[in-house]
Amino acid sequence: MILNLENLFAEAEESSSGLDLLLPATSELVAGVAAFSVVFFFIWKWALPALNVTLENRAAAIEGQIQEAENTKVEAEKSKAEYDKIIANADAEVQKIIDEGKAAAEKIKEELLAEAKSEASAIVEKAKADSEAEKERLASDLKGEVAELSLQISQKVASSMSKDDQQKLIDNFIKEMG
Amino acid sequence: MITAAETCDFINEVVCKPANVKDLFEFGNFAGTQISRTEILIVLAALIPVVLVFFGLRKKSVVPGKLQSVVETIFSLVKDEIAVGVIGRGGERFTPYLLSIFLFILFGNLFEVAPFINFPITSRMAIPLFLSLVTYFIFVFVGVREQGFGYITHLVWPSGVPTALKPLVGVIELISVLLVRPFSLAVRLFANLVAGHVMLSLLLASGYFFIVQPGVSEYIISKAPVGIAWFTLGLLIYGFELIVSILQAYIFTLLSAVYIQTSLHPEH
Repeated sequence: MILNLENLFAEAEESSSGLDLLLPATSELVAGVAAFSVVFFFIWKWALPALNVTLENRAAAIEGQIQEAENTKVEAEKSKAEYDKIIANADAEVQKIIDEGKAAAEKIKEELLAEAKSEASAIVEKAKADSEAEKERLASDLKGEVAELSLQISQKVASSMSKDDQQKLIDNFIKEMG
Repeated sequence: MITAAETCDFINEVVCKPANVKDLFEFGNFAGTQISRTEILIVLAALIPVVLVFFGLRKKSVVPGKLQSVVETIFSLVKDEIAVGVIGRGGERFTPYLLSIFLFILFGNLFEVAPFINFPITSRMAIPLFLSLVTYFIFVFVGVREQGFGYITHLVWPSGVPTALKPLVGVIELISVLLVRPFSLAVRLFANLVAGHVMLSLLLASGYFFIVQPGVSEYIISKAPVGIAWFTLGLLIYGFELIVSILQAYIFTLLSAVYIQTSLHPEH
């Protein structure tokens, strides 16, 4: 293959001076200068400034995000410390709540007991008073009944007795009834 | 490729070749105008990167899209690795030039492997020579501006060399820096792309001709495997030339930066 290429170039040179290929063509040189100038001015005036703006924006965004992340981290650490503190105090809080609950329950119990005793005492007192009143009423009724019965008996007895006997009987009766 | 294939003698040749090597590099004018296909490609090699960069950076997004990422990567490569990385202090101001030559040469080279184009504009001497001369004028100008007349005397009478050798080394250095550098820079790019273009054209043209055998009265089936072999090799070289295209653009830009650096910081 190498020999073929060598022959190829040798034949080409013989037939039409391959040296032409080593010399720059003027039209291509002009086109090259113009085309390269376009690339150079575009890169110089637009592309690199645009890239720099992009990189600056990115750096600012990254810096902002890093700052934001740091702030968030600080806040998170603060919150965590608060939560740790709350968790550490939770047992004491729970105990305190239980104690307060117990104390409140005890107080309510005592109040209820006192109230119940007071009510019971009042009921008992009232019952006693009612009983006494009833007793007195019954005694009064009984006395009335007895008096009436006595009167009836005495009338029946008196009708069959002398006036003296009647008087004696009455006196004895009254005396006994005392 | 078709042009090359048309002149093939498939009976006597294993690799076909054009009657004139210029057929591989010179084409007729475009659609009846005075503008050649090469000139159109030169303009396209400028417009395509301009358009791509424009659309890549137009939005200036903080979160870049795919095109913007590619553009930013290329810009960062040239700016950070070449302009600042190679030249060092003060190298940033050469970024526009280095980026421009990188993009212009890259797209000019990539036409070699672009389907239906298959012709690198850097295989024409005008482009490498023009760009190397621009680099030459820049590094000489920078050298004179930074060091004054000392730039030339430093070349002619180099420090750190035994006095007896200074005249000889000085002449070599003077010729090397002021005469050889621009041509070596141009010829390196030109020769690589010419070689790649010739190789691809001949292999693919041979492959096409031996497989299709256009204009042949009776198809010779035994020639087809030859075509398949050349075509397969051509496709492998195609991938290789893609790498060469990118690499040569990088090397040209890198060497331009190195030359500028030697003028800007002679102490290194």
